Amino acid sequence: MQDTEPLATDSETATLQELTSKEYKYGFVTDIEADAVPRGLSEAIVREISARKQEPEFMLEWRLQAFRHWLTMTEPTWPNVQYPPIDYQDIVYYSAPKSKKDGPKSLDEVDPELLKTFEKLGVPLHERARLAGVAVDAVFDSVSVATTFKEKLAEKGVIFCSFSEALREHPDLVQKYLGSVVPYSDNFFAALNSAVFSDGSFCFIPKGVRCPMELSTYFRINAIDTGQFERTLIVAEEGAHVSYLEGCTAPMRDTNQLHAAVVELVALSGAEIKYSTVQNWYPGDAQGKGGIYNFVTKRGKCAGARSKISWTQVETGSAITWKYPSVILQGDDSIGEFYSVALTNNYQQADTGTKMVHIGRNTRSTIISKGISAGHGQNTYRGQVKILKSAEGARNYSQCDSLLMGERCGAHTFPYIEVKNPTAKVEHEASTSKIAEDQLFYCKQRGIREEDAVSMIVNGFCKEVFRKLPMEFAVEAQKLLGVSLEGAVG
Amino acid sequence: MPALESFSRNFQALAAAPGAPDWLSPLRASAMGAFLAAGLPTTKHEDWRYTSLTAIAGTDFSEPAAADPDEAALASLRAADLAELDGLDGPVLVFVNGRFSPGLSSPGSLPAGVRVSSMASQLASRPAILESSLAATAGAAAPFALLNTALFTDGALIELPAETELQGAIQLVHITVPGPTPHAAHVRNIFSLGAGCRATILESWVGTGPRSYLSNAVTDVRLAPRSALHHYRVQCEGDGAFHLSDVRVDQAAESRYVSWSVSLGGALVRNDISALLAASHAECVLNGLYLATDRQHVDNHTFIDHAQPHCRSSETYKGVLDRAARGVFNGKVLVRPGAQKTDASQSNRNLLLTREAEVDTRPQLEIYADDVKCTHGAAVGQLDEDALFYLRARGIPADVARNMLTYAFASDVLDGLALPPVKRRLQGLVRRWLDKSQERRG
Amino acid sequence: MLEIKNLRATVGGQEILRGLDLVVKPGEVHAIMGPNGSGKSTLANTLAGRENYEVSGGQVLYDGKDLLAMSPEQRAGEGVFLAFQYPVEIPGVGNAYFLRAALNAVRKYRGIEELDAIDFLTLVRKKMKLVDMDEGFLSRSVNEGFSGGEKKRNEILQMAVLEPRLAILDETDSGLDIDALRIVSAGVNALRSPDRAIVLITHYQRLLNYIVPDFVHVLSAGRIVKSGDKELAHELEQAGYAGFEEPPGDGTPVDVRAVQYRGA
Repeated sequence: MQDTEPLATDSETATLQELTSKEYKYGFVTDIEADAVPRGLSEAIVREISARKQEPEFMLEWRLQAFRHWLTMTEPTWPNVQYPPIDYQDIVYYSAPKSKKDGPKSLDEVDPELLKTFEKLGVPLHERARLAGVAVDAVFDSVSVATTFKEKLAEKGVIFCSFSEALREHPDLVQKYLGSVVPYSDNFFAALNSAVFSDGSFCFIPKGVRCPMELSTYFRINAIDTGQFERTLIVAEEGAHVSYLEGCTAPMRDTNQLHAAVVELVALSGAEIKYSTVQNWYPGDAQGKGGIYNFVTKRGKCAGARSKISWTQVETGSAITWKYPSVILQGDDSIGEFYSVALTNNYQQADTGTKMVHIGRNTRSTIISKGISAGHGQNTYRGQVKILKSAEGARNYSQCDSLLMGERCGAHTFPYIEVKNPTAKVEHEASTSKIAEDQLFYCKQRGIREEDAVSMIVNGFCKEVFRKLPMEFAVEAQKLLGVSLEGAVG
Repeated sequence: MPALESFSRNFQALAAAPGAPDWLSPLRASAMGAFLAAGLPTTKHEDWRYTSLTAIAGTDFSEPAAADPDEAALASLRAADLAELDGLDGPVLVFVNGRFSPGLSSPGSLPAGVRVSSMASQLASRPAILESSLAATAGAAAPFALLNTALFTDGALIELPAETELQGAIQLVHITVPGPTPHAAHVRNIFSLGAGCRATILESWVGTGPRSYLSNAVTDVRLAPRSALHHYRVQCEGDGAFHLSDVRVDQAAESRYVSWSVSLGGALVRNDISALLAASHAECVLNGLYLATDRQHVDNHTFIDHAQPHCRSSETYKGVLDRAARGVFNGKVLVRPGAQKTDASQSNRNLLLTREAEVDTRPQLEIYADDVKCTHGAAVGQLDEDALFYLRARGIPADVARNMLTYAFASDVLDGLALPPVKRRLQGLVRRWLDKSQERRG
Repeated sequence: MLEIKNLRATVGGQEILRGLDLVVKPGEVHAIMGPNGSGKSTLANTLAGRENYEVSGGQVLYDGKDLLAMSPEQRAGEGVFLAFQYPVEIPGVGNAYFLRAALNAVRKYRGIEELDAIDFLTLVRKKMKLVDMDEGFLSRSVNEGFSGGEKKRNEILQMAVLEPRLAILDETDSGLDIDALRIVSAGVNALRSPDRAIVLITHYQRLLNYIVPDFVHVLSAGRIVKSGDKELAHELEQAGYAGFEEPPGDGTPVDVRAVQYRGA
């Protein structure tokens, strides 16, 4: 802002100051001995990680191919985000909580400190998990700690376990699907992840099975200077259904930490995968110091006819977010959805959106993106809708709305629409505005405090997306939005 | 690359030509250096993502344009272009193969102080406005603007003193008669309106036959406070033409720029318009229509820079793509920090008529101020089946009905057109294009 | 209860209220009438504390307290309610949720215990009968896609729930057909009580057939130029505002407190 008169009123400024002064609630550090590899990245480190995890040969080979490919790649510069260069040799690529035995066999064996951490995080492990009906795979730094509800799921033939366990118990399945949606050569961060990923979740829903409960993974980065590189693979066979939730937090650190995850979804004919994320990595402090670099590749493939993949994300954390959960609509009549709320406050930057690649006939996709920028936050929607020649009768509808709060933030909308089939119908609409004064005044006239009115209106703005979240998550998401914006949201 | 080599040769020929003004040579040389250093952009470059320049890069443009082209072709072109514009007052400047043709032009009568002249005739007097225009392109990364600075031969220099109101329109007709081997014409225009001026400028670009040639125009528009310019660009280049145009608009407070860009001809067409709303209460309205068929490639790039508060912009571009044509739209709206109360809207709609046609559209908003109202929309689709059925149920044959609806889709961009002769002509062009496309479909 | 003394207010640099005086006591219903541009809506918005309505002079006392020093939400807490001429749409925010948030904010302000969801629903269902609204209203977003009549009924419902002490109804009759007008008026009349005052702002006399005022004031060029009982409204209906278009005399405010009638 130069020469222009500030247009924000005093009361607005006051609210925005409050908004920026909120504290990150999940910023505690857990005091646990960690078993880590030395800093830096080399073929030796890749081999070391694979060896420690006692992986099968094909896995090591794949990692090495990925690593060699990564060496030939350069970091992407096209996202609308700015950060100092990352020193990839100054990162610890593997850090596991040290346990007395080789690994926890049941919850009782899990380090109580660790369980306390999850309790603080509100992860419904233990009995609470049972009550909430959620099966949880918790990934702490890089290693999966405990998976609840395994037995109940096993009855239905559902496999839900850590990636390491999947490699031990179901190597054929992993080998069949790993990299089938996101090949290691896909992009710089996916290649890096493929080389060094340490753990993650694996989920397999056999033919015709409707997963009896919501599956859930909580990720947490604890150790300092650690990168987290988890990998999630979900396969839904013919006619299978699954809803998967993912939550993320990290402690407050002055330095930036790298998180480069890969998520692959495969939906065969008639299968449906619903993937919901509430991402609340540490965003850095009010001055923009510290915070997570969240550079994530998420992609689903609707491989079979009438399959459906739906991404819902609420992104309130991270210093920088770079992610585009995408769907490849290969099967005829398949459906892809992307519902997103991205909030940037203080000095957060987000460049997020989706890709919908229409290949099959009568494929349909919907994109609803809500961006909220406050403080110095920069929020970019970047989305691609690609209708290939073969996609007869394809349909896409996209709507991207941005809400601006404060005169130093930014909201940017960069859709790419590419149509090669004349029977396709593609519609994109976008709008950008600030919270309307008359809405605020209306609420205030009815006695509602300004900051409550703001969060009420912001939540209303995001409603379409929250509606897509499972109930518990919707409540959590609303709360998070409130916390990220100020102190109290109803 | 043959193109780059031929541009170098053209540059050397131009530098060696007698009578080149001293002040211009170093400017041209540095622009040429910058152009050659960067080379032609590839599709890896974001601004050229959907438009490949390999056809241009592979063409040798070293043949100088004929000074006295085929008179018959010329006459027919000129007649075709101007016949429908009877009743439009004002001067007509005709440029043939990139050079002003006094014999074909008519001066018209103009108010005192208005300057409408050929750029070449003014070079010796070193117009300050040209110098600043050339300096502005030197800093920009746009490759064809650099090339234009290095190689431009002529163009129109139009200057209106403050508080001048022009009736009718100033017409610029750019005619190309291609020779047996490809040549390139680089035209440089400057339109400068003093405070409170009102004017209309109509530019036509026409060419003959299937032969290849390059037409590369840069136009600088300077609008002083409260001035208003209606700027029409009608592009009917020959089937083998590469047409590149770059319009740069600089708007002062309360000025108004309204453009209609209609693109019908050419093999490879790229139109850039960028408007800088440099002071408050300026308004920019961009209307565009592109009709393309066969293997035509039409790329429209617009950039509106809201640098100051209380400005408005609105943009409507529509495209109809037949046969194996490809349309590209890239519209960016930037709202800079502090540009509060910006009101910006943009829409791009496209109709694909065949299986081979393609369209890529990228509306973009980049916003750094909060008290703004910005929207954009883009759509790709087909004619409304219900409307089609309705017409057929009333007895109208399917192909006629289809044509009617396509015409309705396209022509509403022209609805706001102020000058009846121009409107009639453009509507006629659209109709003829559609009739032809229907005929070919059989 | 409400005492407005020599109130001056400007909007966008233009002075709209130019020394307005008005006294409203508990239990009274005042109608403020006047031609377009006389300052009716400015008065309503200024009393509610809307931004951009700048007070350039005068005083407003509410129960002896300085109303103008309060924020809009404080005023609401104190019991000042404005039924908007153009109720705003708030997409995504449910009517019930909004109303409960408002009610609890106001209750909290007044030191009353907040209502839980069940008690709230019981209350709101009862109040909805007043304005003939069905359940469906509650789940819709605030005013979104409401017809003109639905919006106005929603305003009266909010008033019924929030139980203000001073209700200012800004052109509540505009855009209503006769049935809707009846419903809205019945709702307002049901809320008349000895400790509640109502200020009706209207252009037309029509509304006053349904809500009979104790006092009628004519607002012109930012001041009250004539006060009377309900008969004055009839006179205006006959003669129009022609006589009131120009500001009277030298601009000295007329002291309307001197001419108070008791309505039938």
